[in-house]
Amino acid sequence: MSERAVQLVEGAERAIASAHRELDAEDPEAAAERACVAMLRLAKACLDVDGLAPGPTQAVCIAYGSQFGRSGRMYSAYHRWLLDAADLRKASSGDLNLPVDLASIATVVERAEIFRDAVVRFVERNP
Amino acid sequence: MSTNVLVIENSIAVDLAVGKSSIRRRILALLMAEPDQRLHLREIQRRVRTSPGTASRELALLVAAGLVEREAEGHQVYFRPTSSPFSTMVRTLLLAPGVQAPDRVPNSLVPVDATLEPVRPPRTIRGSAPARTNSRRPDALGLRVLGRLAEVLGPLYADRLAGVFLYGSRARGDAQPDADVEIVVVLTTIERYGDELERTSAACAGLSLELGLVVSRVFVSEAAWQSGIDGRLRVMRSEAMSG
Repeated sequence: MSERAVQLVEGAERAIASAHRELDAEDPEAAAERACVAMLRLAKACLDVDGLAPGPTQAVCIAYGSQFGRSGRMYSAYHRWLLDAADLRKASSGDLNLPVDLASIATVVERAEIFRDAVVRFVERNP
Repeated sequence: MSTNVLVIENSIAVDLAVGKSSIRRRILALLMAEPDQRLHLREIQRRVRTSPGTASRELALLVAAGLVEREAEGHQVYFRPTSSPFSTMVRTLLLAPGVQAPDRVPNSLVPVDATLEPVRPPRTIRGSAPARTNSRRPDALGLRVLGRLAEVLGPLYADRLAGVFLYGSRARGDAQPDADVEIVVVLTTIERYGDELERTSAACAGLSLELGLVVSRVFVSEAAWQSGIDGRLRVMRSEAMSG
């Protein structure tokens, strides 16, 4: 696993832990933001294997879809989960203030944990 | 001549009342242009085109001056003009139509959104978008995605679907080539937000992969969409395009 991939996975771990804390504090905006950040960092860790390092959310989602969405190298649902996490973050933001429930955000956090396990296996297989 | 005198007097009075900060004046003008509406901090920051920190600092000064009141609701904070006589007087000075002299009234006294038509509720929400508020043409790709999604969402939601609209830069016609395609799905009721994301997940991800773009969607209840109270929803409605 490259040093950058290690850092990204560790960063995702921290974001997941933070998302749990925000869920406990019943702060949907912060919890959704941390859950989305975790998903993005994990997607970046996968892209690092292919030598790609996109920055903005949009670029990460597009690059991850392009490299892993249909390739069979990763479970295809992870791409959906990444996009859903980004949309949930947008919906939870103060800009829109839509009625996003904590249970929906908890689902994204659980998915981030599943994705994390898969990404760790993937990057270890593809150093 | 009398108009010029009035303008000078008003400029001095506004300076005395709110100071010379152009950002502070723009925030105040924005809020006072729609005194019955309350606006979220980020909405204010975006519309006056300043940083969150500056907006927060200037709003704190306006609150301390008794011109603006702050309302916390859950985790959100909203701002609106107070109804005090002082606030009413400043509003008159800022926005009185009789003192519009371009060489004397700084641009900062004109609300940023003053050139936009007011957002009106659509006559019927089903099958139509609110009236356009600008003359730019929506992006063809955005409309194509909107049509594709509407074909999927119609049978999926049946009577719960009140409308599907394109919004954002692709609706405004000023999108960059790789801009997200932003869709708002209006439903009669939303019970659990995550369920709506899940129902539409495959369709949006499939289109995203096919186009090499991000197809993003938000779900709004019909009641919230029609009332249009929240600032960002009002902007979305003003941009919204149906297929």
